[in-house]
Amino acid sequence: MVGVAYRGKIALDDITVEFKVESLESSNGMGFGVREVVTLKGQISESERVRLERASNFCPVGQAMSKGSIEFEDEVRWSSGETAPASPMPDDLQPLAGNIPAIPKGTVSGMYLLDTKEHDESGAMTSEGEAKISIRCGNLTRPSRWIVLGGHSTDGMVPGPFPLAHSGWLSSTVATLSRLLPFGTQGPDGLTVELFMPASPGGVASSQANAAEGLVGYRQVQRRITVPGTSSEIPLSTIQAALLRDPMSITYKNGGVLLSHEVVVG
Amino acid sequence: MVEGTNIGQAPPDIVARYVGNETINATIGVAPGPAGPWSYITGVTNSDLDVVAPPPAYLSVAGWAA
Repeated sequence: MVGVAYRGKIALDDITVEFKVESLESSNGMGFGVREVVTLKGQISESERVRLERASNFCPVGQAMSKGSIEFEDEVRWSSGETAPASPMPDDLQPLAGNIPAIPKGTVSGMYLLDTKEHDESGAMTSEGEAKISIRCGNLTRPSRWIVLGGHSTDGMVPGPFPLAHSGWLSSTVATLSRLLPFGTQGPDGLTVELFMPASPGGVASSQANAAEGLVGYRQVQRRITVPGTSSEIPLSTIQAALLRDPMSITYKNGGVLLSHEVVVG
Repeated sequence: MVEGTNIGQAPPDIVARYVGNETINATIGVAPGPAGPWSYITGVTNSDLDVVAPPPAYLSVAGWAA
């Protein structure tokens, strides 16, 4: 949003975002939905707000979760050394049975760190800067809170938005497989998921141009899942069926996680 | 079952591993390079223990917020 505002010469002084995360049970197994409120600060006209609202709707990471813009190819490896492609999945494959606890209700709030914005010698913005993100969610005995940093900076002090989002996707994959696969007595030790991300064509500038114009930018990635044991003990079809239950994989495949979206000038 | 796949031999960009006690370690920027690595713990939601780190979906939403 900061980059789009800068390119569009919109006087955006500051920005915050809050996501309310809700646990959902639906027919396709989606585990959660989000309600997003973006608050803009500055001398912003209604037409500029509408332009930024469109950019927010087509935020590249948001597209991955709301529009299913990540096209991924899976490979499975077993610790025995066997390997098999896991994409595409059979059309008639049914999701694996088993209990996955609900995703707890909570919030994710992003605060822009204004002084991390970077400029070149001519004063042109070169990096949008970083954000402090506060995560709050319910827990069994008490509410819990964590802080992470993410964004764009030339020195790479924090991970970019996409790697941060993808790390949650991979972690969700591990969490789901650890719950559902028949690991036997050894448990899920050794369960690993890796992601291979080709460079985005056009980079950040292209992503921001797509967002400003309201275009979906599709990206291809490859995911490798390594499970302990052999393909006889944990067959490929069982792993694929378990993946059909993973909340983040469902979200990346189908989108639809955005329940409501507001962009307001505050 | 050893079949050819399209995934090459380059190092991965992100790795997530189950590390026990209902926790997962995800590391971004695994390969040597100018930026990273950054490691995050996420908690597997369960009915027995408080999670010690955000559930995975929250980390993805954090990326969206960034």
